[in-house]
Amino acid sequence: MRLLLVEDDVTLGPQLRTTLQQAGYAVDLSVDGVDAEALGDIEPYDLVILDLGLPQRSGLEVLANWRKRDNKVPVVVLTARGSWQEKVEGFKAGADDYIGKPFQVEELLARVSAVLKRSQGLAAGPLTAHGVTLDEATQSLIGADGRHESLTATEYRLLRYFMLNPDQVISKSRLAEHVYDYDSDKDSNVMEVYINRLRQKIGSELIQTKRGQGYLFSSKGS
Amino acid sequence: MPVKSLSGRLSWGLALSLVILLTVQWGMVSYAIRHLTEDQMASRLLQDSESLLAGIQFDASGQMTIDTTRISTVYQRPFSGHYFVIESIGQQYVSRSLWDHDLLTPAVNAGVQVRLTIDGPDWQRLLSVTHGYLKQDRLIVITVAEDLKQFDAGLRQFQWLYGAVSALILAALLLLQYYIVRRELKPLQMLRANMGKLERGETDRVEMAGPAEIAPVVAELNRLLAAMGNKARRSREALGNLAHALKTRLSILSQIAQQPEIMALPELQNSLQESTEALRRIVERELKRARLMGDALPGQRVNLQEEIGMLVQTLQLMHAGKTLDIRWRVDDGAVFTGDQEDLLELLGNLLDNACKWAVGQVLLSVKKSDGVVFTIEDDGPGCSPEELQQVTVRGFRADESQPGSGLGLAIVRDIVESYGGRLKLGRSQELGGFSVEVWLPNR
Repeated sequence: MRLLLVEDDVTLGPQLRTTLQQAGYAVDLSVDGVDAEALGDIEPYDLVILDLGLPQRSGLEVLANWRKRDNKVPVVVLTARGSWQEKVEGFKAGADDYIGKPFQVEELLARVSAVLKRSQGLAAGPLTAHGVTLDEATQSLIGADGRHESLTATEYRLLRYFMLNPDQVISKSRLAEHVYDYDSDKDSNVMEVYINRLRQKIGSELIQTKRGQGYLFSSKGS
Repeated sequence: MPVKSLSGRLSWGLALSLVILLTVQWGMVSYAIRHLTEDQMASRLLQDSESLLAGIQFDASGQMTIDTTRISTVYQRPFSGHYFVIESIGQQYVSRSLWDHDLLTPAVNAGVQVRLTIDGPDWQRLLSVTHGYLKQDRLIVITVAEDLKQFDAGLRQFQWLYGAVSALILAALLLLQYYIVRRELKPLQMLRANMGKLERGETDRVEMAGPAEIAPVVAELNRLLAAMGNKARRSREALGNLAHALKTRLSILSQIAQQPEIMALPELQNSLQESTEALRRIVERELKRARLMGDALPGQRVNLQEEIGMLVQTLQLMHAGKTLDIRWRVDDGAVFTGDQEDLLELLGNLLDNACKWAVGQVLLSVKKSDGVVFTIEDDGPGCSPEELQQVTVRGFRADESQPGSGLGLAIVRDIVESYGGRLKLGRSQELGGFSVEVWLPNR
């Protein structure tokens, strides 16, 4: 999952980016409204965390502009003002959720995860397929037999993206766009290696290769 | 003494002075006319007296004779209203018109004149002029009298007419003055109507020019209103910025508390987290309290349907993880006049609280009742009487395990107090859970 974090505070921004990266997200950080609006329109983010008090262009304006151009990227608004007036305005502009500063990291991660699931039309709760459950807190896999199996950071990102987008053919480049951030080197050959390792852990039949098109994660089982 | 209206006082003062003026005028004119007419009558009577004197002769024996051809016929007809009496040393000659009636005649010396109002025959009231003359060395006293009936009748008629005309003029003047007072006080009436509108939140400034006496007041009032509004907006903005800055720093602190290096020192981490949380609560509570407008400024009429609709939509999204049925109804005629942000803060906190505790249903109803009553109910567990007592007294949440700031009720109480309203907590009749009733008075 690739996120856009828009936060102008020079300390909080990078700190949050690190936290989110540790939670298994690819994160781009933007520090002003104009830059954020452009990035949100160009890059295929899965979610945006948007601070409202931004230099150059307010977060509310950025959000309203996206919605005006039919950009439906899920947005979690992050703000310090915290008045109900502002909350209502935020949702009116098209926000999907709202977190007041200061917040606990767990709360932010829980909300981001909930909004991601909601935006994909999935029920709340842990991601499950074929008896295999993805434990988001420990970034590990719980097998049908209840056995924990650890995942590397990239494996976790890949699997979560598959589980959030089941029964769709996903091209290698789309996979790379959503798993790596803007500055990463996106080598699609490396991707094949990671997918093969993932198959060994969850069973090879779950991720099918569609030649020339990409991969398909089936939620129904074969 | 009750405060009387300006127009009432003006009307009474003007009416009283007009009545006094017209009455005094009526009396003066009556007096002057009586005086002038009586003078004129007296001089005519004196002329008659002198022509009588010319016809008086004394013969050698001292007997008085009167040339009757000189006497006007009105003195011959009985009780004609014109009489005379001539007296001279034991002799008396009386006009035929007097018949057998006696006239009161004062004794005077030669050259002395007396004017009297006396009773005559036939209940007549007479004006008499008595003059003493010397003729052929004898004192002759001639009294000539005339009935005042005609004159009195004429004067009365005049007085009636004058009175009637005066009354008409008075009525016309009062009417005119009533209109003038009303017209000239119209700007004040308009000002009053405008103040009413201002209070009810139908306008945010006084929309009128007014005459020179009032225009500066109106201008000053508008300037003050604008200044207060601007000041309130600026201070809200400043408080918002302060909250933003403080809370962003607090976010950083709470992030730091979760760094692995700090996690290795649980005591340090604990105290860091506790301090951050305490600071957050203080900042939240005090800044929200400072942002409250209350009823200090003239309010705006808030569109309840629109604001509540939007708020409910927001809450649905905020609690999207839960299947909630949030129903709301606003009675016709229920009106809130005040600050829109205060209202959103009040209802937002209460509804958010209800949504957190509810199993599946939340109900908001707005009723008109000598002000406005907001009732928020849920189908959650509600509160036991002891818990209610605690919540009411301390204003903090009963269960610390429920996520949320826990400041909601405290802020709600601040808002209700700033509007002079009342807050009632209890159990919902309809849904069985917690119920909050907020009454806010009319302005």
